[in-house]
Amino acid sequence: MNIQVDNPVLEVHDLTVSYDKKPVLWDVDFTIPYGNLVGIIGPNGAGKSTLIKAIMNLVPKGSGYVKLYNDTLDNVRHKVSYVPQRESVDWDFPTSVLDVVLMGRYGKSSLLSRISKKDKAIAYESLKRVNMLDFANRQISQLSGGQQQRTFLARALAQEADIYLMDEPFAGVDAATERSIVDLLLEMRKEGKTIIVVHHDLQSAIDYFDWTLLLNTRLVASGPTEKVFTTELLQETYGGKLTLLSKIGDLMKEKQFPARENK
Amino acid sequence: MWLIDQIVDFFSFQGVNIRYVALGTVLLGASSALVGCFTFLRKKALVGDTIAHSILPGICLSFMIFETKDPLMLLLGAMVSGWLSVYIVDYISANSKIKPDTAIGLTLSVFFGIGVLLLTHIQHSGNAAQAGLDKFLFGKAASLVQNDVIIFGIVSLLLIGAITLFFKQFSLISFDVHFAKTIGLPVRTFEVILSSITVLAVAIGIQTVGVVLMAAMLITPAAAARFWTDKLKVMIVIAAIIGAVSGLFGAFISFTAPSMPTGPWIVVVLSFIAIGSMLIAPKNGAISKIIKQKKNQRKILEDNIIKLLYKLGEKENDFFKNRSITTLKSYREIPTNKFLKGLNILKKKNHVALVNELWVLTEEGKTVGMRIVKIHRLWELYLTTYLRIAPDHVHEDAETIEHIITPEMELKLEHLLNFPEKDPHNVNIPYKNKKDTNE
Repeated sequence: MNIQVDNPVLEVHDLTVSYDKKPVLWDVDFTIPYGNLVGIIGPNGAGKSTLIKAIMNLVPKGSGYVKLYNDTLDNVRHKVSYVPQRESVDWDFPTSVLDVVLMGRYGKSSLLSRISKKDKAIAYESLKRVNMLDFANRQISQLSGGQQQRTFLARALAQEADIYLMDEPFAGVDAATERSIVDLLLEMRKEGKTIIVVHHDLQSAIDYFDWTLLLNTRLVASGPTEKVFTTELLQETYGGKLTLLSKIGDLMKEKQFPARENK
Repeated sequence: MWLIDQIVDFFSFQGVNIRYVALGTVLLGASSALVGCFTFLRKKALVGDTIAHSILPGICLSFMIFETKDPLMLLLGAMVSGWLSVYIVDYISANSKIKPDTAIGLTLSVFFGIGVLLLTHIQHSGNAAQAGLDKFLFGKAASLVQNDVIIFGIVSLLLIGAITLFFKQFSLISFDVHFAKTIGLPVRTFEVILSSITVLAVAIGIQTVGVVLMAAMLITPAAAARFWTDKLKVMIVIAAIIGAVSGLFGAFISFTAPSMPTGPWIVVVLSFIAIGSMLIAPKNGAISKIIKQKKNQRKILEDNIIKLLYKLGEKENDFFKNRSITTLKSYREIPTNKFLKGLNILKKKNHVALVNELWVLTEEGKTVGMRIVKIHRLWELYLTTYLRIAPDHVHEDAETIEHIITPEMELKLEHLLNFPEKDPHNVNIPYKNKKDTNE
């Protein structure tokens, strides 16, 4: 099942991504409507993180293209916010929570200008929304996992974007934090934002998301959550990799074969 | 006094030579420390070492081509080969299965090998101008002249300028490079700028301290400064000061004993500062950890004695009975001298009193003792209730936890368990104010 929408906020067209010539995403093609809370669901190694990294241009694409607001990322960057996995940075870095959140303002002002009062006000407001105001001057090395995640969310909020791509925001946080993050995401959706979340827990996915992508190196389904969550489709997603597909992938790596003839 | 004479001689900076050497080493120490902070934070400490070793062939080639020892020309060659080495390390790690540490090891040794080869060739070529080229190997700060200092000054200003101007960008790419890319920061450009100023800092540094010691000039100040602060800006300033002070003292020491080489002394001073920081830094230092442990031990001793007195009172239904140290010792195995030390501290706090060589709990001491006993029993109950640990397994844990629980936690514990009357061993839990239990 792949439900395409008119006038999508995000269009991914025939996207193939390879690591060392081995495709980890095969011809992924889908569209996402405005103002939804979207879940990218799939087993470990399904390429979920790679998909949003490819959307954000952080990994090279073997083929295909990505359009946001019917435009390239470079032209609409200020409307797009990316929340990396919490483990992707060193939390021993000598900096404070507020400074991390202010990084969300860097893209807004010119690169050489100083942080303005308005930037600071927005940063504090963002911290308030994730319930971290009391931690503004805390050193990031002293934060718990859930607090680290909320710091990253505050930084994303400070970007004042319209579409948010979050890589595993619920990984390693406790149930209470997960609930408060979900509440925040619902609030953001109410404001008309589109939020795309990489998630690996099937149980909660059906409650959280309006729209769901099922992914396992290839796109299994894309559509409204209630339509996508069928036993058949879930089995297809979690029932292991397609043997032939992974064999071809291994062969491409062995022969160092390009994803497309002309690449 | 010989030493005072030396100090006055040196620090009055009368001699032209002293002035150049001191100024040169200070500038060098500070500027390499500045750049080194980012090398350190990006976990690229060994890259500094690679650059330092890889600069040698550049200097030699530049000398062979231009046949001059003009520092600017040599710097040019140094920059080129230093840069090339950084690029090769990056390229190998990104495009092959070889891991960064191996790539560094390979690049460093190949470049240095070629460098030594060229240097030997030059020294045997009979070129009269070659004398002193080997100073790049081990450095020769004492030979710094006005020209060098001017170049050092310009380079330092350049480095300080670049770091002030691009502070936000440098710290962002050091902390979270993916995020930096997604907000449209030209990450590659800033990485190139950062690498370039590192190469520059190393290139001017090695003629003072030499190839082998240059990595220490970059990394050690940053590592030492990290102990003192959690703020990046403060860390950079502290690192620069440490670098400058080491430069100055290295120069001073080699001034007092002319046979002493400056570069190694700078690094020795630097290392002492780093080791010192490791030991005495207030939050992360080794000594503060020892002090904390000592404090803990004392607290445990005090708590245990007062708890013993309270429990004896509980048992014999007389809290204010005078007891001899021998009696007390028969209940708890603590060496007499420690026991007396603990009792004397408690006496000073007015928790116990000494009457006719016998020890007795005061009213205040009773309250303190009761609190510890209460916490101990509450914690046991907490463990059996919330962690489902068997009642005969909880005592040991409670023995430790009773010393660390804060009044806020105590309150939480009471409310969580709803002021229970009995602990898991069916012993009464004492409360200071009996009414509390009814709340």
